[in-house]
Amino acid sequence: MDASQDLIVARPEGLYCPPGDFYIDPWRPVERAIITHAHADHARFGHASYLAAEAGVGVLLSRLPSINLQGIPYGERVVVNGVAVSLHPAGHVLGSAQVRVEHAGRVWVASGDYKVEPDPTCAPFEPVRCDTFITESTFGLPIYRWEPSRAVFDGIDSWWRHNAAQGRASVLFCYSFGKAQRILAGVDREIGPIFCHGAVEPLNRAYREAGVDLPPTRLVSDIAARDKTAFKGALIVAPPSAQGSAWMRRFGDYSDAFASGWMRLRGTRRRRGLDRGFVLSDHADWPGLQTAIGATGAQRVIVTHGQIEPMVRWLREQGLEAAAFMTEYGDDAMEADAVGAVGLAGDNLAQVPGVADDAGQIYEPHLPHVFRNTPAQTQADEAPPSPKATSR
Amino acid sequence: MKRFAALYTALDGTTSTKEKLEALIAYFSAAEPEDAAWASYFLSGGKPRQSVPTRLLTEFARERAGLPEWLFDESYQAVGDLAETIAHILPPAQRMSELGLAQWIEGRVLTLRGLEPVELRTRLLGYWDELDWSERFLLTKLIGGGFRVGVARQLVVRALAEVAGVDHKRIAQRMVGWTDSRQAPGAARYLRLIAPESTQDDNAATPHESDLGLPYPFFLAHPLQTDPATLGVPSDWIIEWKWDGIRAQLVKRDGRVWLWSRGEDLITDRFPELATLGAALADGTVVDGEILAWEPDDDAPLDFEPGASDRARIIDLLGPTPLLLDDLIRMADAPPAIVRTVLLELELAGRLERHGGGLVSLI
Repeated sequence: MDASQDLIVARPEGLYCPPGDFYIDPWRPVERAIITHAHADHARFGHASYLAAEAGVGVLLSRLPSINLQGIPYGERVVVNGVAVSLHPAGHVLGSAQVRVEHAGRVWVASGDYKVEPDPTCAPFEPVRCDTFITESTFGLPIYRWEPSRAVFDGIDSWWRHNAAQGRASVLFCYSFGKAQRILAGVDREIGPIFCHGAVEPLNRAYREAGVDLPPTRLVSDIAARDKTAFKGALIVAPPSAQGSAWMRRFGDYSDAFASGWMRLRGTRRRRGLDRGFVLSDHADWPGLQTAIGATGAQRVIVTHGQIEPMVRWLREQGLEAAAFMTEYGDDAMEADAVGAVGLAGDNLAQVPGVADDAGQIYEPHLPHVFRNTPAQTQADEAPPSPKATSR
Repeated sequence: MKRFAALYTALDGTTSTKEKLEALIAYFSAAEPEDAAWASYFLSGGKPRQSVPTRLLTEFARERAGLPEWLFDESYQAVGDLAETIAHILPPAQRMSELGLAQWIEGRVLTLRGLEPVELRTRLLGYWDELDWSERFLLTKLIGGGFRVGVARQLVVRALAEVAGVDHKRIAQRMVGWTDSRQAPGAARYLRLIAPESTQDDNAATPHESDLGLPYPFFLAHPLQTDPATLGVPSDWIIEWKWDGIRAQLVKRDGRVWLWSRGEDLITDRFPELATLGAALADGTVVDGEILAWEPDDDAPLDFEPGASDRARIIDLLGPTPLLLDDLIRMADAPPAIVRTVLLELELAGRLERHGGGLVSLI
């Protein structure tokens, strides 16, 4: 195929649509950016204008305040330099979208991150017919196969209930945006009080403002650090980077767990040194990826991040034209869904300072960039005060 | 099988010794004796022989999942464990099985050996299709001969003692040789394992086999709370040096030797030299003392107490992956006696698992 005909190409700044002159989830500053969802590896500061799904405007602004943002409803068509653009639910997190691009009789869809499983906190994934489908492949190996999420929540509930009966706190690590709210919406809110880390609570607020039903939650920092009784029997939702930090001391006797798709593998779970691991992902599992790709009817598939090589080879063997784009997506998923998928990332996370900051500031610690060649930002750049300084 | 798989999941899913113990007690309280016999056999380190070659296991699983060889290999690389890889890639089961562990092992697993590939294929595909994820993982482990579980034998002993209402030292003794492959686990043997302690009459006649090697209660030293003068004149006393060794009791009875730790765990096989020395003692001798290491001609024992840094370094080198003792000693750059002490500490704390062939791993 003649690459000059491609509707979306990879540029150093990000995925680029030449006829429309816009970027999708660019990682370097550009004029016009279409954002699939508000996770940090897809939505970054520095672009002159942003376009995103209306449903995700609240969360996007809570993470990137005062950007020049236009929100459009799912399915609504806007024309950018003669290219018809519409956004369709990706089922990944609140406001996540696939970008459908149509020009001169060709249709391309860039999916961002997606899952096909139902999730009460966001609109369900919508298959969109296209000629070329740009897909993620975070869990693109046949070993990744999710249980129905109800079974996972039952597991979380019984773990929490058991701890509560023992007078212990239950600390559940998960990504603060998306996963945390999905868990809050899914657990049995009658078991006990729920507290959230300062990185999670602002997202809860954005979700509630968007009309998502979440149980009442309180900030951990609202409780005096010496008061260890307040957390007995409570569920505490915190980002994985809080594990092993001084921030944890306030909970006294607690059991800890991690909710992530990576917990599917026993080795990964055991290396984390947690009491429990719950297999819950906001990405499609192997059957989900196959279903989603098949439903687009696309003859050409481009894989952006995750298990790129096996997925490309597999799709080729299925008779599709498959290739890969080098992108900078997936870093966030490391922290996100993830940690422990790469040993290095897991190790470093435990040492990222600043997670003790739960004073309401949104803070997602940036990993040292495992996959990238760009110089790693020093942690001091963005780290709030060290755990010592904030532990009272 | 369901109950045993649930136990395995519970043991595998927690790092807390207390929760592992609770799960074991719950299992043994509810399991049928014939199932409990096999469970205690596997949990305390018994391994079935491989009954299906790995190559065939892989081939059948790949075929069932519809995967090309390279993708199976990629998957295996990501998982690092064959049975787990197979359990992950197989499509969800269509049926359910209510067979107990003993029926699975005796009727299905042990009878696989030596079958023709065609027959193996039919049976394996059928079995896999009756089991959920954790059961498949277990079955494949058992068939492949690589079963191991992250639980210390002492913990199994304690759980059985709790369920049986019998002193755990006695259970520990009864379990000596429990995983000997020449004796198949069975309900009768299991019931003897958890039988109530023999009455005094029995003892008078023929002491129960398991009572033979029991230690005396350890005689413990306590700091003096009063003025030393109240003890009287020093010449009335025998003064014994307190070393920083490992407190233990060596029992020699009926031509056999048992070595017990202070926590009353059997550690005879950890100190083969002492077992040999003990054989020279007269029957009926019990030595309560400290285990120390001496170089010939030295006038003081070797520094046997690991420093905090030795301990940290050794623990740091250990992980869930089994590591060869020789490698551990070399990498830790510490004297073998120190490494052995740290390993023993870990083992007694229920954190170490010993595998065959000098391999150890953290639990």
